[in-house]
Amino acid sequence: MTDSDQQGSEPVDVDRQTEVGREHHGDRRKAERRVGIALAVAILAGVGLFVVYFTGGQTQIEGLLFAVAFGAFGVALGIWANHLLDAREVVEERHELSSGPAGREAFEAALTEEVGPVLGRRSMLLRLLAGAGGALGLALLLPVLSLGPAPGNTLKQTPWRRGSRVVDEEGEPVSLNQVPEDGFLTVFPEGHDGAADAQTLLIHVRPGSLKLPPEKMAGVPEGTHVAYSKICTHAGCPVGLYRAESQTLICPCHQSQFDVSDGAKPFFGPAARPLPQLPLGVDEEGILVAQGDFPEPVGPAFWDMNRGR
Amino acid sequence: MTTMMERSFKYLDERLGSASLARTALRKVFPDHWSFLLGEIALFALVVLIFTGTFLTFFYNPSIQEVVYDGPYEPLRGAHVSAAYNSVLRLSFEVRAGLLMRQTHHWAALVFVGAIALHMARIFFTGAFRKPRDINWVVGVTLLILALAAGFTGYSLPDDLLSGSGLRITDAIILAIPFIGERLSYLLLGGEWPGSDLIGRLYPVHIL
Repeated sequence: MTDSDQQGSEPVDVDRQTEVGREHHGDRRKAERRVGIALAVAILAGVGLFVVYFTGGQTQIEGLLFAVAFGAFGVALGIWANHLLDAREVVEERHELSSGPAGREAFEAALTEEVGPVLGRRSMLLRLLAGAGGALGLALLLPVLSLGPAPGNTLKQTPWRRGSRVVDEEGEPVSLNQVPEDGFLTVFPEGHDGAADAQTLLIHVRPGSLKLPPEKMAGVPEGTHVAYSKICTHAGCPVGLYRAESQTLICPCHQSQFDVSDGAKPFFGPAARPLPQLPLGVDEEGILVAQGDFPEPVGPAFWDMNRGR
Repeated sequence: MTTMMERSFKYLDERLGSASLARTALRKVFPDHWSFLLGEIALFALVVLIFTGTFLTFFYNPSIQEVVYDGPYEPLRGAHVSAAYNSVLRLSFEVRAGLLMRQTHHWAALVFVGAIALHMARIFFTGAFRKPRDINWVVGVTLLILALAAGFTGYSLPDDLLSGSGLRITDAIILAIPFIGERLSYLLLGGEWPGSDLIGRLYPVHIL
């Protein structure tokens, strides 16, 4: 990391340096005493580390002793360097890195002698050589593709299907009115509890508070049980905070806020798309079921998300 | 005592030629300005990182297999956690001085990246990136990027809430890359988020 500081300085030869001459005259005695004290502190802290470790260990005290030991060591070296050593100012000429035109000609001659006249006349062969190397390099990159499958349509689908029963995180079916008014629950399709892309928020809103178009209202049993994807459309965090009085869903990662009454449209923060709504229904036992998969891809945006699924 | 030191110097010099090397090192002309020590700070932060990191590898387990926590930390007893997180908890609560090593590794990493950034700023604003040091500058920028990558993978390894959020957001950023984003994300994760291969893959990348 520091090589650029000294690049251009070859092994230093004192005779080549011009001494401008500047000497520090401190009170050497005093400095020696302070170095001694600092080193003693470092030794004590080091011994203290042994004691603390063998008497059971306590992370904060260990850390403190480490800091004191290293700190005192550094202070000692600093005083030593600044007050007990002579500092002289020297000027060092930078040496020439380049081998110069003569050196380059010598190289060309050597190259021609060893591998033939490659510069100029055999340029066609040289290009083929580069091409062969490139082709081989690309072929060697192929195994990278083995790292994972092609995405296909998987990003645009979730395990929700028409008729999937709605279950909670423990896999128990969720029935109508099980969630109290103003309450919400994280739900999954039956048989896929825990599936990352299927996590959905079931929210029991107050009657008459939803302002959705009729085709969306058709997926809201009783007009009160609305379900939205729990995955933020910004960066994919779980949208886990619900403020019931303002009917707002809030993503904890970047504070995007979604209006539950208006189709989970974002009205604050970086998210640009509404959370997709899961169309729900009720089966004859009163259990909530899905009417199908989400109508749009869930989660953060990707390149061809709007192409057919 | 003196003779013993003299003898050992002679021993080393006859075998390694160390006297002239050491003389060169001692005679090195070093610029007398504090900003030239920023690179040194990065170097020694790296030394600390390698030592503490080696210690951590002896205990860390890069597996997302689900296990039930039954260690000494009460609030998590009985919770289903990944084996990776379980090993981090063990390192923090059971291995003596384990938390010290973790925290030292953590803070050394912060100092490391900070020192590199300041060092690069010093080089940039003093014009030390110009020919003939331009290749050196490119190498330095590459090292900065590698340091950031190591920092990110290290952040992700404990498999705690911060790791998960960080990785989720990173995956969202990768997905948003035009044309190749989806494919790239699947290659990294070994499938759709969260995938099963990620932690196991981040571990060797972090160590490299």
